[in-house]
Amino acid sequence: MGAPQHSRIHFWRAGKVDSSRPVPATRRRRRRSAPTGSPEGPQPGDGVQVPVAGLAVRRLGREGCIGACGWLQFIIAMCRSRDFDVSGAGYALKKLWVEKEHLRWQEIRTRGELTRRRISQEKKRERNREKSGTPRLRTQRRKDILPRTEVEAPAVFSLVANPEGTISCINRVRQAGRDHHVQIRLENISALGPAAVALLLSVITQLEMAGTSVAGNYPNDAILKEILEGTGFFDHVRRPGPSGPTRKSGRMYRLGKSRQVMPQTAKELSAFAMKLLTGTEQKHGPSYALLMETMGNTFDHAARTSLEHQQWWATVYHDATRGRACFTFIDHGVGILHSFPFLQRIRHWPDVFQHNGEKLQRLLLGQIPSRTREKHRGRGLPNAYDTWVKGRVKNLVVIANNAYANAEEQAFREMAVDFSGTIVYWEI
Amino acid sequence: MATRQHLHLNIAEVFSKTPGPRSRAEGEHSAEEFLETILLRRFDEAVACDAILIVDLDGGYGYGTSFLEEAFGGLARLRTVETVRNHIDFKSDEEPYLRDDVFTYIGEALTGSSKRRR
Repeated sequence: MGAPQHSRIHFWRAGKVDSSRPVPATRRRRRRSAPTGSPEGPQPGDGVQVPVAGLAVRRLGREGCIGACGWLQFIIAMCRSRDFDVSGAGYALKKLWVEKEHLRWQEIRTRGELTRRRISQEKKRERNREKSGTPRLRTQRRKDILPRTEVEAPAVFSLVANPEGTISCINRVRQAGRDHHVQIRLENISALGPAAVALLLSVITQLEMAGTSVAGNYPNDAILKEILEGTGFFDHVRRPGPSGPTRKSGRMYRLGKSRQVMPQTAKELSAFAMKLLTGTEQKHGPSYALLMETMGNTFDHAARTSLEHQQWWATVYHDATRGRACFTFIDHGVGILHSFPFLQRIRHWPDVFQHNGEKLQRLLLGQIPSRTREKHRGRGLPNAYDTWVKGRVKNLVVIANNAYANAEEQAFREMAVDFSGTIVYWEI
Repeated sequence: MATRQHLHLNIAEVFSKTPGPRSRAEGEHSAEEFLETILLRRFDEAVACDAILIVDLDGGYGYGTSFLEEAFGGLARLRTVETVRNHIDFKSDEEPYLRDDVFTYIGEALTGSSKRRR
């Protein structure tokens, strides 16, 4: 015979019968208490039959090990023996089930199972968190068969003049676009602002709208139609049929893949605006500085986690009738009022502010110091306001979450609708 | 009173016409890069020969607040506010207000926890 074959835990199946070994002619039942070596006990080389109800263990060629140590030791010894045959092992299992050793093993196994289940559920939750917001295959399939829904734009489609109505409309587009194709109706609008066009474009080109068909029509008003065409909106969306000659009054930039601060974009936008205003391409330092600050703030604070970076849109539009260039910067991040640095700042003044509009006002005025008391930190928005105060830019409007600040009108209020992100608008 | 020697540094010529954000991680042409690669070395040269470093801000497309603060406020944090005030000056014909702004940033460079860290 070769080396002893050790069984695993499924001991009743392990091992094998050595068919070459002769089976003793007489199979007598031996008492459990029969001592080894006694005339009645198992003899070396003899087969053993275990007298247990329903259990017949035949062991061949090994010394007997039926003793006072209990059935478990006996069965383990049997399993470790070279040749044995177990039939009707139910009793042995039942016996094992109540053994102290086995109970301990069972307890450890249960603990392990619970831990594995908990880890598995955590992983599943993490996967779901990552997937939330991004359309799955099934959602994409469903979008093909779902009906189209219409969203009517407010009569005054402008973030400066009608922020609540415009944001409400944009939120409706965003919400409907999750499981519907969206038709945006612009034909009845009576006023159109370039910032609203930029916001609309930023929403319909978001990742969560991938697979959703978003369409719209033109305003009936010829001037408003010209504004829509001039903003640069159609550089980013398709339009049916050939377009007529349109005056390029605007540019719209989306951030690159790196999602970093892009000085080149800030330069192009400010130089483009100055070219339309003055006829020559020249710099506009305050606008360049504002663009750099807003991009930097978005990079640093707008994302929901520290590992991701939020996308942004920066646009400029030349309003020839008013002789103004209108800049808009939009990010769909957490918004200033929900950003971590801001929450840290106002943590020490929990009941000072009456509403979010006041928080934004204090922030613009530089009256909320940084949590580290470092004056050189958090200068972005106070400097933007200071730039407006000193007349380097005009009509500064900041929208963050549900707070609205209009420097020109000195209006700082909390809106009824919530916008997830930050919008900074100014004119030169 | 003897006139002190002037050293000149034009950011648009020696660094970039499109100065970028505060830190390297945020994007290209950052203030951190400017401070470490150019400004610190030129400033130390000026201090060594008791000269005034004239930083010319013209020629570029503009400067973000973060850039100016990190570059010149950062210089004050690395050296001292007094040394920087004594050995640096600014010139900007295109945006004259920048000179005062930068001196404000230098003056406020060591406040709050920055001061304690030193």
